[in-house]
Amino acid sequence: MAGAEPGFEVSDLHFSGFGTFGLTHSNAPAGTNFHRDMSERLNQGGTRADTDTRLGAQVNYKASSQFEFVGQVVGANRGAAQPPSDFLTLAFAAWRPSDDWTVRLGRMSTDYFLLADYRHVGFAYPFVRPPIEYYSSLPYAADGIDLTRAWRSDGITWRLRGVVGHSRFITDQSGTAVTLRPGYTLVLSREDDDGLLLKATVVRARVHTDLAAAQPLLKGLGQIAGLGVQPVADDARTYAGVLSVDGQYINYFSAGAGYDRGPWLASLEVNRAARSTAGSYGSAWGLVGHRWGAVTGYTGMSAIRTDQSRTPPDWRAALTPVVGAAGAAQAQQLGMIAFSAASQTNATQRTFTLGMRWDFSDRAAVKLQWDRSRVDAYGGRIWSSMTGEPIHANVESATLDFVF
Amino acid sequence: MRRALTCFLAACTMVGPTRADYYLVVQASNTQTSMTQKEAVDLFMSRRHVFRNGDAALVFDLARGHSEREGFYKSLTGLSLAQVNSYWSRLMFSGESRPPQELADEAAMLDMVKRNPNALAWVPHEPTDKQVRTLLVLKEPN
Repeated sequence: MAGAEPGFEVSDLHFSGFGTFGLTHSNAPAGTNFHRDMSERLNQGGTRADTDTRLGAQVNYKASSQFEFVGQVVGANRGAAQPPSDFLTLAFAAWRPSDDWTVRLGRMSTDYFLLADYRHVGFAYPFVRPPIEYYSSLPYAADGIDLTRAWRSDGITWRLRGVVGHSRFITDQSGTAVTLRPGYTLVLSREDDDGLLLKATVVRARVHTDLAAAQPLLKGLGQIAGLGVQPVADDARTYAGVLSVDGQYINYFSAGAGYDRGPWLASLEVNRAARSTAGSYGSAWGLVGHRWGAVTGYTGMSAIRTDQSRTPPDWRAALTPVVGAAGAAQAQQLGMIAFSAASQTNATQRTFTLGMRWDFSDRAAVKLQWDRSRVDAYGGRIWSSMTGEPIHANVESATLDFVF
Repeated sequence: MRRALTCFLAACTMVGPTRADYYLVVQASNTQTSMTQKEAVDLFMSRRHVFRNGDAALVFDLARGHSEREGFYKSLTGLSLAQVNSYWSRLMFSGESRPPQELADEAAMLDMVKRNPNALAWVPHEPTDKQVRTLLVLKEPN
């Protein structure tokens, strides 16, 4: 073709897609919500088809051997506060000046953790959904620029990626956007021909959110802390610190390992977030699976623990000598409101998982999964619980995942 | 009698399940004259995108549904087709990379290779066209 780059015959337009049809049944107590991630619409539990069901379509346009454009949209259950632009999950231009370097500009997936950049694609992993303790509060995409350097020797591929950008997450419960801007991410991965993948990620981002509704509460906490009565002052400052995240920096560190070769597969990932929008927390998950032909059985556990007190305040006795009984009662009421608000950022739970996957075709699979979750009192953020009661819940799931 | 028995036993070893061969081919003008299996895995699984001399490699695959694809990927990587597709769905839908471009059949693969010095393709039968060079022969595992 006249004018074509040597060795590159035609420009290349490629369409592809993925999807999941899923059913879930949860027996969680009234007032709690099982969802795959916290941007989903709050629900009344029971049997639902909207938790895991989604459909994605992608177009790749390869303009030359060095330039490619990628766009992806995903339709899935989203809360009322999610803007329509969130359907666009990928929209970037990639420049590959050599085999080892890639620069991308636009909207990209958040490559923070092992599964973060393909969470929508059920066919790509063995279980029904990524562990909710680890992935339910993670933004799906970041707008910015990234630079990747890859090098390969002796059957091992190393990749170092740096990302600068911003991302946003809106929980349906709050309806308030939490923006991470600017966000700086560094990812180092090692993948070998024997099926072992190691990945470490560091993220530092500044949090922005609208705190207008919380200002009266924060003002009241400031006045109580100013009384200087211990331990009331410390409690008040802690609640204020949890609630006043706007302008603060958060730091994530995550390390993960995945193995998939022959009949065995396994994954392990641990994460520590300091001063996150949910308070500082640690989370982890692990999974082991075995293949028998086209059938894979797996089991796993996941957990999250937020570094916050889950004991309601009792300020009356300490404050009565200072502000009188009526003043102490008012302060106690404000303290309980602050504690409840802060508890909504507290996630402390564990989930045990058992499931199977059947690849009945090379592009489609059926999965069945049972999850048993135990949530501590005042640790129900992931379940959007307002009651503070502990939660014991079973979730049964069935999905059909496919790619085309 | 002994001769007849020897012939009979020789015939038995010749009759039985045959293993397929898969031929990785390039245009005869391509400067690369051989390829290791590791190099082939790197190119077909998008871990590398260049030949040894640094020239861009355009990798082609037979269309989904082709009867020989399962055997080819099993020979190349040891993975089932479902595992290969799961691998590609991870890379493709995160925007990392794309699977090789698919062509309809063996004739289309050979035609692409003959027209394009940067093309790398595979065919399930040994090519006889002098415009095409075989870099690697993969044997289907038992």
